[in-house]
Amino acid sequence: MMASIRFHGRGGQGAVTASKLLAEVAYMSGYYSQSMPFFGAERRGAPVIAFTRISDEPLFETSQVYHPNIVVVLDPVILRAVDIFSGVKEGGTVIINTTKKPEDFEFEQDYLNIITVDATGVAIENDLLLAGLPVVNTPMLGPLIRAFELLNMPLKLELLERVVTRKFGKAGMKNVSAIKQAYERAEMKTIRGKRKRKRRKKEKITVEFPISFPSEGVAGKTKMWRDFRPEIDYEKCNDCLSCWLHCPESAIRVNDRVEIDYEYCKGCLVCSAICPKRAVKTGREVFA
Amino acid sequence: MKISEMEREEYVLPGNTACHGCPSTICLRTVLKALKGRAILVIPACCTSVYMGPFPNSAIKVPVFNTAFASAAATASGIKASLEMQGDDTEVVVWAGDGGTYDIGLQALSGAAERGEDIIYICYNNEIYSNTGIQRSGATPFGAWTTTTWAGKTEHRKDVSEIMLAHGIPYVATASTGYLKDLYEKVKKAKEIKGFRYIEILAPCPPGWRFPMDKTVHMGKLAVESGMWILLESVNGRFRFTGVSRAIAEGKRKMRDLEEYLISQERFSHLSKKEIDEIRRYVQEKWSRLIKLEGEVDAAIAKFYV
Repeated sequence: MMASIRFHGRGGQGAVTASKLLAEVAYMSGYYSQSMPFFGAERRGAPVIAFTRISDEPLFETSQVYHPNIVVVLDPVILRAVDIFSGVKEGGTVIINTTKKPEDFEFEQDYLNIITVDATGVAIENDLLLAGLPVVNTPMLGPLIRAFELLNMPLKLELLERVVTRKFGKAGMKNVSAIKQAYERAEMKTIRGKRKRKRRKKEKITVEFPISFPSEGVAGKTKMWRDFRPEIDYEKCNDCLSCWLHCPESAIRVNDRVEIDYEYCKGCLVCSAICPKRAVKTGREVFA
Repeated sequence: MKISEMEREEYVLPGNTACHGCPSTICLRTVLKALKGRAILVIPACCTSVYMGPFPNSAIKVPVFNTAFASAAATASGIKASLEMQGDDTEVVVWAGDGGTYDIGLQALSGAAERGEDIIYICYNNEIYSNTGIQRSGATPFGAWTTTTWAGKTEHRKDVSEIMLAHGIPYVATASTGYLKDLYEKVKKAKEIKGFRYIEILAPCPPGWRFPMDKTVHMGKLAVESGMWILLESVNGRFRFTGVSRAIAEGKRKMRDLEEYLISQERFSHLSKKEIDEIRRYVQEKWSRLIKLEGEVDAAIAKFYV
């Protein structure tokens, strides 16, 4: 029996760490295991994928996982950018960090087990914060244990706790209590898929000379990367254009006055740091 | 020059995949504004070749040729030769990281400089291979942490701007992300000169140097003010300091303490007193060598023209 797991997160949330921790726990429970990140440009805030394979026989497959049994989604916002249900096997399990109910999700498969848990809430309650942002990767491992119970491949919660305490040292106890809480709070239901299946048409293969053309938003609307929101106080602003000159994202436009393009601003706050009049205020950005 | 007089057109489009607070996008915007978009970029493997996005889209509004790591200057020479035959005077600009300049691309760079190709070579130097995950490069300073130098690098950095000075090319300049107006003027000046022109920009990388993402510009300023990075310019062999570095060299301005620069980055957080003294010695030595060079050049020119 082989279980393959896919982790979805955003750069910096710890999807890769979670996949490593899971592989370690599985190894200690007596399984063969492997863990690998998706290789690409690893950037903060960008969608990140990581994979784990767990089996009771030696593993010879080393490719990335295309048809997972289990999918773990660390960030609810990622649902808008990535199709998390793609390739999930029939009867597989999808664990989502969200405040929604399992019934609220639609997918193409006939039946899937959906587990929802508010891991962000659990992290905040347990004071599990890193640089002001909630750490959701370890709490999400709690509900993952439940998914393995469904597969008849039990992993021990005690082993997970031991691995986490060893890895994080002092902060280990906070992580352990968060894992336990998330394990208990997880809500699981078997849901029937409602969305219609897309028929894939055969595409013609054409050979073109590869020329790219300039366009805005090659990485999509990068506002999703924003954790902090800059806001210009026009009463203080003296139109020195310093923020426009220094903006790394070209997201400040000069019309009659400087304006921030909130569709693309990544919230790096260079404008706020550079402003000589301190006219750029900053606040927390919340999308979901 | 006032900021309001600068080119308003954006040549690096929003929505690219660069990190928060990326110095490379800040500088590339300024460089392309200074060239008014009349340029063909040649980009070897570096962060820029990634953040400009996947086929069939590009986040850069000028023609870009993506080439192999080692061959940026050679590719640019070929493109320029072709343009010359067609009677086109578009500027060919190499935009390379420090990996593609200091280590892998050095022989092509030196060859093109020696042949006197009519191109602008710009190196944005973030002192690491940051695109592949923060490995050491020839530009990494002594004592800096990278993923391949866990206890701090044990060698000093080499200085390609001095190597290019030795080539005797018409224009060599260094700039910093902290002083964009200075960079803008230098690129404009380089545009007016014919021959091989080399500009190097210090680009403080927030994830690689481990400092908060909003401090990119601040760190570029601090590097110059503390003397760790020196702004200089050499036009047809006439070598001089520029901007803040000039004020420091002339004694009009006091250098800020080097420790202030080192402490503000986590990559230097493990340094001992001895290692900080070693960096201080290196910086002082570099300054005294360059100040001597400036004096000698002045004396030689004075003698020649009498």
